[in-house]
Amino acid sequence: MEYCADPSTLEGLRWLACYLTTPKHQLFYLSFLTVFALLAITAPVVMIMGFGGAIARKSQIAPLRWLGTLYTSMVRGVPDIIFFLFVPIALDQLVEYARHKIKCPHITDPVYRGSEFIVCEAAKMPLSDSAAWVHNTWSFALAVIAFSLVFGAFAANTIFGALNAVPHSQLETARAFGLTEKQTFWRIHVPQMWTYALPGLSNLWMILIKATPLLFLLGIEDIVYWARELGGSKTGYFQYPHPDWRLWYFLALLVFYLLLTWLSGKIFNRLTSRYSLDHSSNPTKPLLKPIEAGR
Amino acid sequence: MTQFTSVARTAALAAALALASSTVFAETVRLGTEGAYPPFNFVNDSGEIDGYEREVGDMLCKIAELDCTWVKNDWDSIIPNLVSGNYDAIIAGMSITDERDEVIDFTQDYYPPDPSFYMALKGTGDDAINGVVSAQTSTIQAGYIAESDATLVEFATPDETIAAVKSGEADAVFADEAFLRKYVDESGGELIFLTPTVSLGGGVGMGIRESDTELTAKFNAAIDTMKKDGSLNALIAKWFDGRKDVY
Amino acid sequence: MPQSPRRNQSVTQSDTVLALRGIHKSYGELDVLKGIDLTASRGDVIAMIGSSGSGKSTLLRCANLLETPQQGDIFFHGEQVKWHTKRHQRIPSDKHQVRRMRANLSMVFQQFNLWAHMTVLQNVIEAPQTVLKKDPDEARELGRQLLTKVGIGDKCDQYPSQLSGGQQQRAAIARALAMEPAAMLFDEPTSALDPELEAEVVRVIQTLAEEGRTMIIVTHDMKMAYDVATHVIFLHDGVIVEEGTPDQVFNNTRSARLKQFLQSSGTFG
Repeated sequence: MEYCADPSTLEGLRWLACYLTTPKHQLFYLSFLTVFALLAITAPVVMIMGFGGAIARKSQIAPLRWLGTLYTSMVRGVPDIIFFLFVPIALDQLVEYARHKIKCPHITDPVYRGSEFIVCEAAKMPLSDSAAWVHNTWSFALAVIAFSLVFGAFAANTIFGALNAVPHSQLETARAFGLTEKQTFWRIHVPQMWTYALPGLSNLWMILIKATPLLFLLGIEDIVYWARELGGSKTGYFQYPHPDWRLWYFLALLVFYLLLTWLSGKIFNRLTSRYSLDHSSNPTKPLLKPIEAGR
Repeated sequence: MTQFTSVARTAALAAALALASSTVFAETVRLGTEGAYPPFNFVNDSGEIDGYEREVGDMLCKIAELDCTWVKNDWDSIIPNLVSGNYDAIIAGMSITDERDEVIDFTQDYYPPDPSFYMALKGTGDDAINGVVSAQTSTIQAGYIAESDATLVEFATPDETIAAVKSGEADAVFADEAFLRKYVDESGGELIFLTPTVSLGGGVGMGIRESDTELTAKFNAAIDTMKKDGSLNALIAKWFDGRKDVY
Repeated sequence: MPQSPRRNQSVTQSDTVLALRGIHKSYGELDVLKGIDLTASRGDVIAMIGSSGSGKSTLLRCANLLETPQQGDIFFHGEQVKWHTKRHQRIPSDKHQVRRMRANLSMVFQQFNLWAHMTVLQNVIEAPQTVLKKDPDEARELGRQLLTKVGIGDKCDQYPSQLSGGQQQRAAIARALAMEPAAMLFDEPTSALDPELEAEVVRVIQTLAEEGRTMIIVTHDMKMAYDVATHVIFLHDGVIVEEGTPDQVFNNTRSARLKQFLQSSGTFG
């Protein structure tokens, strides 16, 4: 603490070291975790939604099929950003409206009054006396839901397409050997689906990474927020005044995102070769080119 | 024995206080601010909301016996998010105008009407006020420029309006004098004020939902108290380079 | 032409593995099968020949219910396939029955259809494990034996795409054998193969025939039909035009249609 005691007397590297470790900068570094948390939570949820959506679309049960089709085509037909803005607000109001009806049944005033949306204190989500982290977690959760809904639909499209891309003959063969529909699906259809889905899912993952700055748009203090906040010119009201350094902060984000996508690309390349159905690039490749099996 | 009594008395007092505070402070009031408009409000190096309004707000809540928490919100959505109940009061250097008054209510002003200034790079002539002028979106200054002969370029944050002048994208920036002052002072002569000034707005007040008349009354009473006991003048003097005896 | 070798002549009615009666199949306006009767008894090797579009593959697919005939009955070991009608379409009503039948009628496809994501050995043990609930170790042991039998015991851990067409088809035959089926159904097993690879597959089929396995083989390969079959069926336009022993069909051809067909296929005549 002594080291950085009086910022105005600091110079050069020492000033920079102190500047880069201010509590405000620590918030910036922590916000990277927000991005990772979003990715870590959203990705599996997206896969489940995608799988569910795709299976619904392929379902024998008509209403389920309609629901799946409606879901995927609705998201496909609307700009993502509309969803990212609409879903959190709509969900927030829906939850508060429901809580209002349950918790404050005695209040008969309408919730929507002109331009105002008013629910009773007990229905606020979160409650207005909740700690700041509760509020942050709530808005983060809403963002995760918005991301999952949108990317889940994309994933559903990809997986639906991949399921359809598996040659019919592969499945027919399974049935011809007495496998049940369920066994055929899980033992033949799904494992083979990955080959066709991986390029699309890899692409989707990249888009998801690149969409994380949308958190900023949802009012969440992510890395973009802090980069802009810290980079802006600082006058003498601040302990560490400096001119407009946004360029450097955004450059750091640029490098961060490049590293992240580069690393992801590597991982997906590995996955792709692992789930490939064409093993002929293997050194034990026979001299004769095998005939493609029923494709 | 005296010892024991005093301990018991202290405990009883503490319990009474705790009880009192739990009833009086039952309601948490959320104060919404931008955190990007020094010296009114900004996020300091410790990552906390700081500035004139931080101190005023905390003091008002103390006087009104309210338990207050601070919420940051972007300027351009600061009124909609008040209306939808994300927080209960705006305290963000917001000038009282008739237009805004149609959507929300204002308390009386806690910072007096302040002339708006034009700031430009050195050597810029006063005719720049009819050139390209930057202002923050949804401010009275932006509204004024839009009506004038100048070409308006709007930005979401105050910082960006200044960056636009430095980069030459705008000929001048139009904003509250109190906000611009520090930039001019610290620029080493690179930035100057142009001669013309404009008086806009009815001072800075707190924005509160129209339905929340009780809260408006509480804050109005608290502002009265601060005006009378001189504490508001003291804070103005502290944050606005020694401006004295405003109220 | 020499007399084709005859085996397992002592077939009685109770030995009937598969019987098709009055099979009709159409796709919209197109009648593909117009009332076919076929009986396969234990040890029979039935070769079905005919030009493309004659319905021979469709008939084979009807036999294990990959296609559903609109009319006619199918008996497996005397047990009749049960039907019901759904949205004006006749479909098998008992899924368990269908699966039981299919597990006993292993199919070998023209394009091999080995499951691409599994190694050769995994392909062979998949259905025995999941359908017959065979012990994994046992299944693996049998799988290796069968792969060795068809001459690719060294390819167990390779993937289908690493094998030649002939090797793939032999693996597919091992996969069918692993089910220890009552009968095997071959759908043009050599048609997708280059001539030099065809021979290795024909050899395997020939071995199976000599072991007395019940087989129905749809083929273009007249030589194989002649060498391997105990009974030859000539299909044309959805009806059986001529059938009999290979000698009767190939050397004492009666119908003009078959004569014409054999001439055009170039092998005989």
